[in-house]
Amino acid sequence: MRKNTWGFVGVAVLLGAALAAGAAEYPEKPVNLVVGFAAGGETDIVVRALNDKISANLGGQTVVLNKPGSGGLLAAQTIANSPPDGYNLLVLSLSHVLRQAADEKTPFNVLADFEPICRIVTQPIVLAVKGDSRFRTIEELIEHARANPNTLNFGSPGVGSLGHFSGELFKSAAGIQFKHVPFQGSAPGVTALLGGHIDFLVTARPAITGKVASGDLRILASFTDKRLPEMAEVPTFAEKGYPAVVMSGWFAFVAPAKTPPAVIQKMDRAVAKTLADPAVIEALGKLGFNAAHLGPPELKAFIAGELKRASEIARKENIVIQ
Amino acid sequence: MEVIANLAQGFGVAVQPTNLLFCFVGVFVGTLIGVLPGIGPLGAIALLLPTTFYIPPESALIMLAGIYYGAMYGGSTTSVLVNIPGEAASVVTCIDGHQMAKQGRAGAALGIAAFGSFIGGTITVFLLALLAPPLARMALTFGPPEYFSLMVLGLCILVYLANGPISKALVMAALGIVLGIVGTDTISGRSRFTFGFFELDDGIGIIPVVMGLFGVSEVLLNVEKKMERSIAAVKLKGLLPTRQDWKESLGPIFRGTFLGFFLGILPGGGAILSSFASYAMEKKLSRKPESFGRGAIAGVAGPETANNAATGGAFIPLLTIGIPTNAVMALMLGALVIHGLQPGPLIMKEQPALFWGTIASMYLGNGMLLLLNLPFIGLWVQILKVRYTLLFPFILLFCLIGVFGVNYSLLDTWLMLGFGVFGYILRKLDYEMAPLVLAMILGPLFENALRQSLIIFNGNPLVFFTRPISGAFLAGSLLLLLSNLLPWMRRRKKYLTDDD
Repeated sequence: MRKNTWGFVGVAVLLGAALAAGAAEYPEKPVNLVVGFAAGGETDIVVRALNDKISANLGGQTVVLNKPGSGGLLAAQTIANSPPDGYNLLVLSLSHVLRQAADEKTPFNVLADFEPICRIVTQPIVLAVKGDSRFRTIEELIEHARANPNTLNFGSPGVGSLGHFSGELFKSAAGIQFKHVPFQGSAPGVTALLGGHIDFLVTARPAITGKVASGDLRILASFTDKRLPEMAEVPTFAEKGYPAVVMSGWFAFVAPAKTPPAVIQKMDRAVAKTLADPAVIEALGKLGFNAAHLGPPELKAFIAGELKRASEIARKENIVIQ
Repeated sequence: MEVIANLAQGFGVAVQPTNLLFCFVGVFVGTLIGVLPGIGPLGAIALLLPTTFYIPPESALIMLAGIYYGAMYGGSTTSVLVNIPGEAASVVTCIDGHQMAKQGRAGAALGIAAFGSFIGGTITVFLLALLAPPLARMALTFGPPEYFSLMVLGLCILVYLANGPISKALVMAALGIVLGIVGTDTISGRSRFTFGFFELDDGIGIIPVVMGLFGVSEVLLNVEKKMERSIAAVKLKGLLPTRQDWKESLGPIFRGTFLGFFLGILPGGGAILSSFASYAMEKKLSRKPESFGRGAIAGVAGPETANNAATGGAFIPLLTIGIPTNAVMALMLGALVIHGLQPGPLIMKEQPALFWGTIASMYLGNGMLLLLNLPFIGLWVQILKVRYTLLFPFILLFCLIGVFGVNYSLLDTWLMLGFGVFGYILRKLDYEMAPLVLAMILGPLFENALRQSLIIFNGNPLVFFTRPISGAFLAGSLLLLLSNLLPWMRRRKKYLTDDD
């Protein structure tokens, strides 16, 4: 009896030690960083640019896995239903939050189904016009729209896209009216803007960087909270008197809900260290992204705030995806 | 001058060792599948599509283009030697090519096919370099109304050029438009015809449809055929055509080049139609039309040149307006989109390495093909002896791997198999599948452009007629439809498309 008890205790101690060791040794096998878009897309390029350094800082292999489909939703749904062991992480983006805001049947909940790890990057959203547009400043555009309601054509990369949400945010804050012309992605929208078929386009900056440098397009205002060094001459909506008109694209790593905190923290530390590397910051900058780390608790609050705001815009401007 | 500078840049890209290698792989695989009856360039492109995800987009396009025009070379070999077309665009080569082989002139037939293809391919490269930049500049002025009218014209041409009765082509086009509707509507954000499967939000992928309709159904169709392969005791001596051969071929080669190039630009035109059209034209222009069907070298030179030139022409709409005009181009579009590139008027400026590199590689590839085909013709003939019981399961396996590799989606895999069976039924009933595939691509573009135009112009449909370019496209569509009512035009079209 006595012997048995000691044996039991011994096994329990060993088991406990093994469990503790297991947690400490995460990752024991390669960690999948699941991207909801095809290889070569911008999400994929960003994560691949970080992947090797995250592996090194984590002390274990990370692998970028593409699971494209339904604008990133398929991957999100898959990860929401994966075991919470830290071996399958999702690259969540603002588009997922916007989708949930516009579509009540979204097959996952960005707050309830995921455990935030950290934000990785942000991406400026801008309002651009053709190089020879009659509008030289954002004020001129607003004034024209106010005097001639529903005449300007606003192009976006699609219904429910970040360009669409941002444009609607601007519209309601400025109290003006213009028509929304959705395109299938940013490339056809840029083409239509260059041809002068729409008056302005709201989209993420990387889609138009080359055309702005060549003078074919001009950025009238940016949706960032403050001026960015790489486009110091571009005013923000906030400084023009619209403090609520702030929106940036972002990517973040999240794990399935109920993933152990030790795993979350270890991963967060590895990514934070990666994002502090000047070489990484420069590489991201070349892709049009800004390294913008936010730890787990801050990210949780951030996503909740983004969702609340997006839901308000969707309700107010009747943005519905079904 | 600009053309020379651009081409120089293109050659700089094309001669990089990796790109040369991919070009060689492309033309080699192309020749191989061209020689083998039963798989066309589509199957081979689909097979190699997943490998292109991991190489730069220009290398990817160089290789895929190589497969396409390489198949046109290879196809002639089988037509001439075995009287079985290696791929559809070489059907017409069987007629006079095999007759020449029976007369002991197989060498001359293969030689002129290769030289004709080379000359046609070379001129096509320059036509592409010359025409593409102004066309892309023009395409930039196209707004939604112009795109709408262009799609109308495209759909009309598509139905007009289809073989067989117009009613069947219309049925296929309508079916294609319906398939194109599936997924999230661009303008309203609503899902349509997804039946609650949110995997269908992105719509039905063009790659599984194309691979099913053209690849899988081809295998199914061939399984039931009994292929006898009597590689006629062919003497392969004298591959170089005689002076007399050249005299009879030069005209057809040059006419075939221009005919093929321009038919290649049209939606639904492409290699198959251009080879038939060239044959019909040469027969009509010939001073001794009675020699056609009895081993006339012009009947080999013209069509073989035309189908190669058409492959070059087909790149124009894809790389200038972003619209694929045939199923192969649809897969190329897929390959570019996977790399995050959206073909359109801007691609030439933003991806000059891709655009000019691909064009320059086509020139180099044509040279490689000449070297591959003429000295090694005996080797290709050996490949014809591979047993189909071995070949077909492998083709099917590669199709399955290929389609799964694109999106790692089992749904896509099932869709491909389903469309394979569907394509088999369609072929049995003599329905042409090209209108379905193209309508599936053009349909959504047509609908988006229509609705974008109506938003921009406050619901006024007159803009489609009052804007000059748009109006011209619509007038062209109307003329095309009316011409079909005139009996003499119908006869001429029949002559162009059905003659064999």
